[in-house]
Amino acid sequence: MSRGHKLMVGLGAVLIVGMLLVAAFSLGVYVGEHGWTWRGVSLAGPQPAPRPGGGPPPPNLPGLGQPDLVGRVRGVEEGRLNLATPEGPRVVEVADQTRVRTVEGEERPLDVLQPGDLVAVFGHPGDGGRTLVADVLVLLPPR
Amino acid sequence: MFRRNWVDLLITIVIFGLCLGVYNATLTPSLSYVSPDGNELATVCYTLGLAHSTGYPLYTWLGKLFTFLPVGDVAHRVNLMSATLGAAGVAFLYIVLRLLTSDLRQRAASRAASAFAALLFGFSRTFWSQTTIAEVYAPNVFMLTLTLVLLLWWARVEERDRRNRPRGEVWWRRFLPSWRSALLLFGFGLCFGLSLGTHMSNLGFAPAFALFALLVGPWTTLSPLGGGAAVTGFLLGLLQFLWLPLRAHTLLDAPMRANAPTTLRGIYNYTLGAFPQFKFAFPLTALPDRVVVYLYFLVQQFGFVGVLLGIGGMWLLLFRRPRRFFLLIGMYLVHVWFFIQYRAFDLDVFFIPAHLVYALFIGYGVGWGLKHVAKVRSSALRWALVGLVVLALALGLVKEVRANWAVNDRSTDTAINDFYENVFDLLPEGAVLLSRGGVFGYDLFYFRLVYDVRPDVLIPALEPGLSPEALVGREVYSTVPPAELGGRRNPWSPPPDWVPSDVWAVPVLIGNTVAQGTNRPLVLYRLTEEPPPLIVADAQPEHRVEKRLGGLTLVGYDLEEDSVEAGGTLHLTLYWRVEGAPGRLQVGTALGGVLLEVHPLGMGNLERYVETFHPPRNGVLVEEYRVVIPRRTEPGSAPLEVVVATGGGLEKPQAVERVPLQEITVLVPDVGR
Repeated sequence: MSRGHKLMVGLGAVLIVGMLLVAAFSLGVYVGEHGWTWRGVSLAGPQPAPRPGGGPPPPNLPGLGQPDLVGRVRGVEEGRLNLATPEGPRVVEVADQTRVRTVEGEERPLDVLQPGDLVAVFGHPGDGGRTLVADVLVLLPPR
Repeated sequence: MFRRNWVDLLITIVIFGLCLGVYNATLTPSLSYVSPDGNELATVCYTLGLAHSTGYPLYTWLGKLFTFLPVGDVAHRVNLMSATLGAAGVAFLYIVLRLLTSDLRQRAASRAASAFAALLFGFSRTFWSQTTIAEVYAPNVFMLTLTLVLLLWWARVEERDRRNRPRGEVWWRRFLPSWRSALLLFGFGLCFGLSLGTHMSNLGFAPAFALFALLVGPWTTLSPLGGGAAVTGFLLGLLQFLWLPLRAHTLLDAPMRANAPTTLRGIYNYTLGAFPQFKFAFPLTALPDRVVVYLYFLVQQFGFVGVLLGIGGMWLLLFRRPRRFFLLIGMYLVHVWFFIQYRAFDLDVFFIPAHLVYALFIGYGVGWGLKHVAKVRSSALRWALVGLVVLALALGLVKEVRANWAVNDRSTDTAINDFYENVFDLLPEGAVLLSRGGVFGYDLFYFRLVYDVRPDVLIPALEPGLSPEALVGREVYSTVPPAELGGRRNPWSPPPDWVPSDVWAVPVLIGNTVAQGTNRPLVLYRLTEEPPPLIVADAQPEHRVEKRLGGLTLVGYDLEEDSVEAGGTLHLTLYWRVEGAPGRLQVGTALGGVLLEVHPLGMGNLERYVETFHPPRNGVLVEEYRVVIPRRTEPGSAPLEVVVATGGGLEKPQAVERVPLQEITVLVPDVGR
């Protein structure tokens, strides 16, 4: 093996190992957030963060104060709600006592939530503080 | 190259024929919504106009050649170009793989691995999907593989020439490549330059190509006869972009016209500077998510086993052929890095060239494995192992084809053509038809620009600069949803001053996009200042049903006909009583168990109607419309049903309840239709 060949192999090995490390790191972050499922994959990616002064702040809803999370519904599965938020994808636990209501305060059934809906989440920490369990989901008007 | 390799020539032809057969069997018959740009591309090929950014001159010219074929309509012929060039691309991929695995010195292993990897790519989900519609990605694979064949062929010739050079040669003679080497470099440069006319992102491969050429033949690459020939070929290929200023006046899209490529800056904005909002659109913190998106697509194409084989192939190629490794890894990384940060809703198709490169890694890994299996000393064991591996590879391909056939079979997708043929039948003399503009309007523009259908109907989106006064005294129809005529506008919506803000959009015809899995509803609305009689105090339907469906009661229905030609319409009136808030329930129709359409109750007018007129709570909601029966519906008798659906809208409705209305006789479509 010539010196040039060795150099190329060394550089190539660094490239492949680097690629595999980036892939492993990314998968680790993803699995930590979504678990072993492809359902968290979003082609559009997280919604862009609002420009300073360019958009309204999360609504301060009567009787509820500031929401814990505001985002667009990406998927609804049993007991979980996948949201795209300005901070990235988030999963919210939905319990039996979780209520859904409109901004006007009208109650809605949980199955009214559809991908693409904008929701504000008011909840409490669950699972030792690692998850957010929704108490109230407020359907926001589309932006 | 094939002078003594008739077996390879035969395999190449078989691969081409097999792929073309499968692509043709699943080909879209005409227009389609699978790609947002496909209908524009089909039209532009025929009219020799200018496509959206980045212009795609080579694609347009090749498409024009295909429009002369005496089969189907113009859109079908352009779809056929994708199938043909896609199949040719897979055949060329086989040749690329043969060139890449030639060092294995085991022809049978190299051939088997090359054929396997080429077909694995050819029948992968995303690439296959692009061979059945008018799009640039299959022709682009053809150009890319042709470019790679020439480059690797040149490398082979160059390496051979170098080995044959006499010792003690004068130094300056190193700068004189053989005529064959120079010719191949010129051909490579020309193909590479031309390939930018099928996708501009190929330019990202330039550093990898240059590095490879320098690693293989530094003197030739730096010489005027070698590198100079390649650059000359490349620049000749770039001349195609003179097409942009020449045809800029044919642009219909307002945002594109604003950046018309009539100046040097305009040409830059239209090509390299196009879509700045899509590029590098994600912050660093989002990159792990984007990498996973790419991995998802990669697994979707090749499966976990394929991904692992590719990683193995990468390592093997690095140790055995490092120059070729750097060529491929350079192409691969630049492409993946650029497109994981690209914000496009049809992102999957942008990774096709990266998948192509990955298939090369897989092919190399499989070839190396086969070679070592064939080296087993015991003859019986060797043949058993070879048989097992070949069987596994063949079964893998069969499994892939079976899985992807259902997803990519567009052969019954006639929704757009069925809808617009009925639209043109329904529109009164001299009517106005509002539509989206730009690339999204070509589902309609195609009929006017290619076939000059109903020239009496005014299509304002085709007449830039038309004043709203031109609409006065004409009946106005629209294919644009009511929300888009009002507040939820986008750059392709009709101008706001063309229709009064308080106009009612009454649906008269609903097409069929549900079965095709697309999310662009096909609805023709009549625009009127008179509100539709949406809720009446009492109704006397011709057929009473009184059946509860979800939160609704279907009181009854009227149906004008009990037989219909496939491709024609049924005129249906549904009478509903609503118990409580209708929520997001959608209603629709199905024929023979196949959903024809679903729509929101009241067809988008209910909320406004209730707010304006405060109708009685126990009133009957009336929906009257025509529904298109797909042209490919089997002739015979089939039950017509009404469904109440929930789900994510038109894309994936899940019927929760359905009620049969009556049997409908579907007739063979009229020949003239």
